[in-house]
Amino acid sequence: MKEELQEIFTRGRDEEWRVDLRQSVKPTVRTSIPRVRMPELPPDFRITNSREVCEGLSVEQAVLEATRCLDCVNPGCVKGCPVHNDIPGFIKNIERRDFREASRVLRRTTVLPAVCGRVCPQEKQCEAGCTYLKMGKSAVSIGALERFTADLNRTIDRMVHDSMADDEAVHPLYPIKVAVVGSGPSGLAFAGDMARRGYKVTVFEALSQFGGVLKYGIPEFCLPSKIVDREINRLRDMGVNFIKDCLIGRTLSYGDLEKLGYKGIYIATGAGKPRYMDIPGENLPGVMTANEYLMRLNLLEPSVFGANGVALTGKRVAVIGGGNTAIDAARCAVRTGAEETYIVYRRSMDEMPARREEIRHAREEGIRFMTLHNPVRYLPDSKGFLHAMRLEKMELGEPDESGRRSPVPIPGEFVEVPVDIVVVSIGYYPNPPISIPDMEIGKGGKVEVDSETLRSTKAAVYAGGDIVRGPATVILAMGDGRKAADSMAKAFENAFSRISLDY
Amino acid sequence: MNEIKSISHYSDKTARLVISNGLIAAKAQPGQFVIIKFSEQGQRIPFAIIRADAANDEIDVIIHRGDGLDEILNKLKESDVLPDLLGPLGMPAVVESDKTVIFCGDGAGFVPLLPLMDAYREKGCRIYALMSELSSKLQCLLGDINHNCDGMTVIDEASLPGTMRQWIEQYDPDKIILSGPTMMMKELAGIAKEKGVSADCVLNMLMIDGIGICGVCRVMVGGRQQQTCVDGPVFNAWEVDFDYILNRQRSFI
Repeated sequence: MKEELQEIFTRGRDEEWRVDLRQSVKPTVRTSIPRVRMPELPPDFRITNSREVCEGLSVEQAVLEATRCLDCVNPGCVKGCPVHNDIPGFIKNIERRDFREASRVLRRTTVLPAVCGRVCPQEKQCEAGCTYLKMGKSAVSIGALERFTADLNRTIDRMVHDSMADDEAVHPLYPIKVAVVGSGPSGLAFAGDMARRGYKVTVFEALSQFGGVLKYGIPEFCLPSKIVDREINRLRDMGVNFIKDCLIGRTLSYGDLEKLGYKGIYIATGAGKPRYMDIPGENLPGVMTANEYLMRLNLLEPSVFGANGVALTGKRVAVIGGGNTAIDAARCAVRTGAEETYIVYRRSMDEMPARREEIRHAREEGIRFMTLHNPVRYLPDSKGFLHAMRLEKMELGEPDESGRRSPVPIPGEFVEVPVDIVVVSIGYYPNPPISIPDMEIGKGGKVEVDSETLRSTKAAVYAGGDIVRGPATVILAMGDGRKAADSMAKAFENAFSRISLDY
Repeated sequence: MNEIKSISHYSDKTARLVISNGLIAAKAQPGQFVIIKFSEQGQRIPFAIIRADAANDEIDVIIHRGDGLDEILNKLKESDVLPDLLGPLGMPAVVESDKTVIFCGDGAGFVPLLPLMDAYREKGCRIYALMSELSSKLQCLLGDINHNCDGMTVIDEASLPGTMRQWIEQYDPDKIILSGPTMMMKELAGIAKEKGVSADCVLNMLMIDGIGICGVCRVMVGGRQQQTCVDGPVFNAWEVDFDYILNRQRSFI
């Protein structure tokens, strides 16, 4: 964590109100409060529609949960957060019911709290560092509180029409144009930070909606698209310009951007090129990628299932993979009428990379988990359509380079499962930026950048998010956006400082 | 931008749209295509760019009924603004000069051949057009094709292979360019290969995003997986696995 950040946090903790607040409730009382339960729609209702499953905390629930937080001297949660949100800082503001200030604290380090509160794997990040875990208790529900803060303030903003709160006001300092390629979480974070610093930012998006994976990847019932739209409108209010249907490299070249006067470019094109297993039958009608499946559902009218012509009534659907995308696809299948839905995963539940909450939701919705199974072949019926999948049984062997125990086939153990649709969700490759000269593209199509500054091998071109990391998380992509904004701004400011008017 | 400048209804089946979009007009090259959404909640549909006029900031596409486009075509009028128009997408076709080229299309499949014919023509190639009766019913095409050709014949679909064999003998082509139903392309690509004539085909695949994300338009070419939207739509017809496409196309009903 940066020292300046650490200092702000410490100063915040030493403020009088916060000291008083800490002393107002005894730690034994705080720790005696059980973790809040996020209100959720009941499974048999939610599978009939695309409404958001988690309903969000009420004010009283949030304040009580905030009271649990012990405001530690050395907070483990902040260390676990990829963008180092001042977690005790915003939570203590919730406890004293200053929700506006809580939002301000969050917005110092994140531009998408409503999104991160919903889709971050908190149990592996902030909540994994919570002191409560050391006491054998459940961590403070940081994600739920972050979401609460963002949602409540959005509602207040709407009510009082001051969506441009003081701290968001933009002071145009530098009439310098910067371009962002891709409107996913990384691009949005970068755009927000640069706009706040006074740069003129334009975001270019190839598809017809802004938000990238937040829109076409994450389903409505996990992250309603209106939440993403509001975050984008917030950026618009800050002066960020958004251009859709513009594929950089085709509609406009990188050279065009330079000619149009953009002095800096941030490439955040993501990783959405699907991986295949290259097994027989993978191209049969009935086998599709998770992208195809989710885009058909999400890209057009995200709040209406089936608008794009996919209806699975009465069908058996198997999703291959154990990541969040796989679980999302399976939960979409349930909602579009699938009779039976399976998750087929080659390791065991413990190694599954999906968020725990998603896995629990999927179970509640009747999705069956076939762990330690791996498809080896998809079989057609007499007409050539997908009819069944042949799975090989697996067991866990030695840990591999990812630190997880690797799956090893059990010789000769196969099972055949009849299935109508298979959705392949085993990961992604980076979307290669099209035709950018003089830039180094590394292993697997990733853009090579300096790890400190995120600058590419081409001057004034920075890159971050999945295009640099390969498939990762929203929060890491966002963190990269902020980091790149920081180093690009510093590079500009450094250049200004050398300008002399002494002539 | 994206305003429909004019609609010419060539027949009750086919219309040519002239759409204003300076960015696409400036960049488009033969073989490339656009993705159009006719309504906010409509499908994303790929169309070959038939003509790109950078001086007037406009591009032409030809839309053909029967792809679920009837309703759209009925409603569309001049000065409408398309909600989404993305392009130019795909790889530009490699156009050779001073060659003898046979263009062969079936049905609406002839449409994507038009810009390629123009391009080959400009490079001084001798051009022969062979089309099915179905294509010839698209009156609009006949005029466009005729004025570009050194020879043009219209025959029934079933006779395409026979005539192709005959033309290969007669004109000794350097190249054959195919577009149409997959079965037809498969058969004619087979003939081209058998006769040792290099052949390209313009694949017409369903797409969702058009930028290489969904995988719907994946095809096997020369044993390697390619995406029509990013690596195509023009491929070496000798190398395309048409059976693979035939099988995949059945999933979209």
